[in-house]
Amino acid sequence: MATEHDETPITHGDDPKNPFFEALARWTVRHPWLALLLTLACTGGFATLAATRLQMDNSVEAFTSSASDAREILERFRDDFGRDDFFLVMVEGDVFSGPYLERLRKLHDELATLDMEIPSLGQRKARREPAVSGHAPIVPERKANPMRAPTAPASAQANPPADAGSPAAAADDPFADFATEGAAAGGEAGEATPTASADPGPGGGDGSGKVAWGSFGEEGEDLGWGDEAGGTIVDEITSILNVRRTQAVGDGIRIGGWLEPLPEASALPALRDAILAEPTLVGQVVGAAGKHSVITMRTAFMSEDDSSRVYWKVMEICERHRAPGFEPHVAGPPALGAAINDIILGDLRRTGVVAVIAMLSALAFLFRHPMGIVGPLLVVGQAAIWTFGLMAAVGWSMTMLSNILPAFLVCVGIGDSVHIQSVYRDARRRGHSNDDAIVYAISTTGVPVLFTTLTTMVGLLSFRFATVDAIGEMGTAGAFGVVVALVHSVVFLPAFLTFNRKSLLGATAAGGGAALDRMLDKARLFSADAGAPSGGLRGAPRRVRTLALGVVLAIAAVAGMSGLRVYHNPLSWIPPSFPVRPAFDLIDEHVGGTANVQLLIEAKDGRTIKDLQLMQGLEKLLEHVREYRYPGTEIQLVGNAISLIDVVKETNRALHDGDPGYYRLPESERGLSDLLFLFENAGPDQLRRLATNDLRKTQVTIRVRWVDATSYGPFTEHLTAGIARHIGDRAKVEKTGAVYSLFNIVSSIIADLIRSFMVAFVIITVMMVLMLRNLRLGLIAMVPNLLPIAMIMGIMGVFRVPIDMSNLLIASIAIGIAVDDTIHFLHHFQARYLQSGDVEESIRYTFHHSGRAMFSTSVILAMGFCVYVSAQMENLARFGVLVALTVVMALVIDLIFAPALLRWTYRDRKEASR
Amino acid sequence: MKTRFRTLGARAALGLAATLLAAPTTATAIEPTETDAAKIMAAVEGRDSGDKMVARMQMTIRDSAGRERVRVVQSRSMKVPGGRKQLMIFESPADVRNTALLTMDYDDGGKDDDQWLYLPSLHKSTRISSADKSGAFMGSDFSYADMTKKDPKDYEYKVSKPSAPVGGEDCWLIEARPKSEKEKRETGYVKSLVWVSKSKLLPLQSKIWVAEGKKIKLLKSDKIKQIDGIWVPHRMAVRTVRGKEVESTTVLDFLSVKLNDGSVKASDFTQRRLEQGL
Repeated sequence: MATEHDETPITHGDDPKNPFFEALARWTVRHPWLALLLTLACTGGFATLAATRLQMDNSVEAFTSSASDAREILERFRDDFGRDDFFLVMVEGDVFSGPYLERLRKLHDELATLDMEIPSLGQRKARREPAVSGHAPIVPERKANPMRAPTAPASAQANPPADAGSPAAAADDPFADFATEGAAAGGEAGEATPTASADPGPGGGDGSGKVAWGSFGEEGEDLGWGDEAGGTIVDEITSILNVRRTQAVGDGIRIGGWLEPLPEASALPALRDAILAEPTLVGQVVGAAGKHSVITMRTAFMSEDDSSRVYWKVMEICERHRAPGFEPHVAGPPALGAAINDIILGDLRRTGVVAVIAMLSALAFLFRHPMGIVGPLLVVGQAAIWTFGLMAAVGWSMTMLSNILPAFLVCVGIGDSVHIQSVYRDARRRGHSNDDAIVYAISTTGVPVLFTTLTTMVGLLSFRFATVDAIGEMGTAGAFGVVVALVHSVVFLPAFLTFNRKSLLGATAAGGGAALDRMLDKARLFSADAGAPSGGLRGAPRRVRTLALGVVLAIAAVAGMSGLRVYHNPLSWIPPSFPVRPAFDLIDEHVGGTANVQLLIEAKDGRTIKDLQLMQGLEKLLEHVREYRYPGTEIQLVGNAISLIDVVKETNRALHDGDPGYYRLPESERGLSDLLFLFENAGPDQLRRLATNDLRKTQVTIRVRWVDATSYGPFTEHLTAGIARHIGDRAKVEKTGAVYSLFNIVSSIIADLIRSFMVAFVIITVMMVLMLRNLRLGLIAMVPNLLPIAMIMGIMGVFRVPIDMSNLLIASIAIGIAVDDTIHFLHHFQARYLQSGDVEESIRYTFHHSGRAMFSTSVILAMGFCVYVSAQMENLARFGVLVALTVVMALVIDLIFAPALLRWTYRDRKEASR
Repeated sequence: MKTRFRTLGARAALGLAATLLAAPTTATAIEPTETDAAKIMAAVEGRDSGDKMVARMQMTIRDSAGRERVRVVQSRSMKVPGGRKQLMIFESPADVRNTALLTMDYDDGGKDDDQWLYLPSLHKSTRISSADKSGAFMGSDFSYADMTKKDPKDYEYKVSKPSAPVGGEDCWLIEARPKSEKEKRETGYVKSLVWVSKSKLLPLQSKIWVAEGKKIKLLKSDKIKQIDGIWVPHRMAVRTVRGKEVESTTVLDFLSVKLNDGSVKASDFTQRRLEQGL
């Protein structure tokens, strides 16, 4: 048995060559130009795709779990009521002063007429079929050619309207898709002179019955806005100036804005008192102290990229209007998404550059020649470009998760190149020709590099099993990236190296590292018994003591994991120096809140919202919602709620000469119907925001403070209880909006983490067993890979590092990377043990062959992940540090515990045979 | 200041689709070869549109999800010095039956319309005034601007195409733009294209650029028939489109129309009559 004092030289022999990789390498060295040009051409294509089609999306719903119906409900809400999120422009100052209101008027008007070139105006990310069964869309979305006139759906032909008379009639009727009661459009006999036969009516179809509106000719075919000036991208804007007021005046009522036109200064104190006494206004458009007001600005649907542009335009306008005593701040979910997009772009550049510099330094240290530096950098650079090109091609957006990819691919992908170039360099040093060294390097390292790539890929692909699509997409794109890095490493890199005719890539200079060797020796001998001082822990063998230490660490890790908590708040990832952070905080503190819960209420059993009992139940539900306080505190979460109820009450009061006693729902259904009729005529646009056309559905928007998602848990329970108690079976009530989406993410985070990690663990275990062709060794291999994951979780628990959407990725990614060291270690151990049958000698051989490589690749990886510390998004920086720590722990555990496990489970074959 | 409630039916039947039309002028004969847009629009507005109208109308509003709402209204209107009076009583659905509107729509755009609303549950009529003028009429795709006379001085007209057939009928294609920001703000419209029938002097369709949200509105007149020698569309539709999306469509059907009806009297347009219902 070999001992620590055994200095027997380790013999070298050529590693086995893989025929496939050998053939590939031979082809490459014969056709280097072809390989380079093919690769670069594809890179050009992917780069074009990425530059022209890659979108950013960091909206809250982009991270909604597909396991729940949250996204479905959100889309249904949008079908019925348009955008659920809006910009909030809060202005600090003395609201009820002349100068403030004058400035607010100007700001309001400029925002209301905001016009920008928005290519995606009106486009929604997700499209749904119409929610009402039996009704086909009037004009379906035109996908093939947006310049073509709209066409009626096929179902419109299949089910001609009752009054169409005949299919031919329907074909000639430009309004054939409208069924009309009575079909008496011809009027009473004798009153009109029918001219239908001579005059089939203008714009009468194209003869197919499909075209109802196709008669607008060339000018009408493009139903887009075109280049016309004077439009605005703003759908709705509300502030204290124009918020609706229904008041009793003289012999009737007046409906208008609260401050339209702007009142004289002398009238302001009275208006101040009146406005601050209105429960519907405080927390919606004005703060309770009269020192803050909010402009709510809702734009049309548009892409996240365009929404970001709108945010910056709004910021620019606000800055222009800033003055002493008039301090605007911009918040709201679109502002948050835009700020995150902006920071991500900065982080992408920053982490990308830092990663390249870090890798450049590492490569320069290892290979000491430009040829050894440029090749690997081109490999990983192209891998990143292909990955983003793929994302653009399949329509996946860049998110706050996928921004880890460039730096990740650089540091993970560089490992393949390092391995190949190291072997190539050794072969050159041994006297191989350049081409032979290339073929040797590829043919001998191809298989282990393939396997390490596969395990990393599995770690990433395990995210397909997460319920949040954005996580799955990031994982798939990352997996594609590491495979591409492998392909470039075995095709592009060798082709590139054919142009290296002279350099040995620092072979002569890289022979040092005595300190590293001493450290590796200490690790190797940590669990070795022979020659070790006796009298240790109860005289137990060192391997047992080492394993006992591992068990203690595992127990400590599990104990630490009990402190793990879920906390998800994308706002907290943004540095406080960014203006969106204080904007959210100020609005949350002073004016109602920046987050929304929307209730989608659909009356059941043929009822409509004119059902008095339903409205009374809704009124009680809203009281129940407003009463909510954080558990055990008096802190208010709900700022305000906007619903039909308040409109009806206000109108009722106005119709009764402003008597406050009538600020209530009417007592009869007819009374309710009348008030809704009045409201419909006085504020039809507002009614469309609050109820569907058929009055079967209504919505309530509840403004709440923006807090971490888990804190919404008790509130959603409170809401659910209120719905059950006050609405019951009269209507179906569904919760949606930013808050609910966030809470939904939190609910799925732990399950996603466990699911994706378990999938990665099981598949990687199977791969280990298959690669090592040894069940026992394969299972042993996974033990030192579980321990660092458990330890990092334990550390997170102890140091109260929360589990959020970003660092739920750590376990799966870490196991995919950490296992690479184990593969190298056990691969060499097994090969040597089969030859020698000597456990200790095999371990020594393994340390000699793999120890330094394991160390250098782990250092490169850890260094690479530390690059994320330079990111501004705090989640990204935290993610980088945690993965780097895991990589280091995985290396230490591999070097300390893997030998102990092998010494515990393996015996020398000669010894066994005796 | 105009009120929210304006006369429906009378203007609609007599050329509602012709948004941004000129104010009435003396009707003049006009040649199909005419190229002066202002003259054409003046002729359109100046044609005989009849008076003392009695109509029964059905308005169908359909949203993007295909949900429909249908209302049937009985209407009487007549010209009076300085404007037009109209009484509208809702016939169906049952929950709005007998709800009624009485409107005095003044020709003088600077003067507030008078509007009374009768809500049966209150058993009395109430005078309503509103500052908002550019919104939708009764939740439909028709806006109040579609039903309001326009001062030709506020618009620039030009013939975009001397011949632009619609359904086989030769039309002038006329572009209209508001001259002033005030007019633009009040109508909410940036520009319109109007197809005017050369034979009927009636707008057959319009395409309108709506400033708010950069929407497009398409207006169409259909089932155009002669009543007492006056061309009257018996069906009109408006469709609101944005980008590739149709947001909603409204169809107004005239189930019956009578012009110059002798039964229409000044006493039809009183608060007392308003409160009597159908």
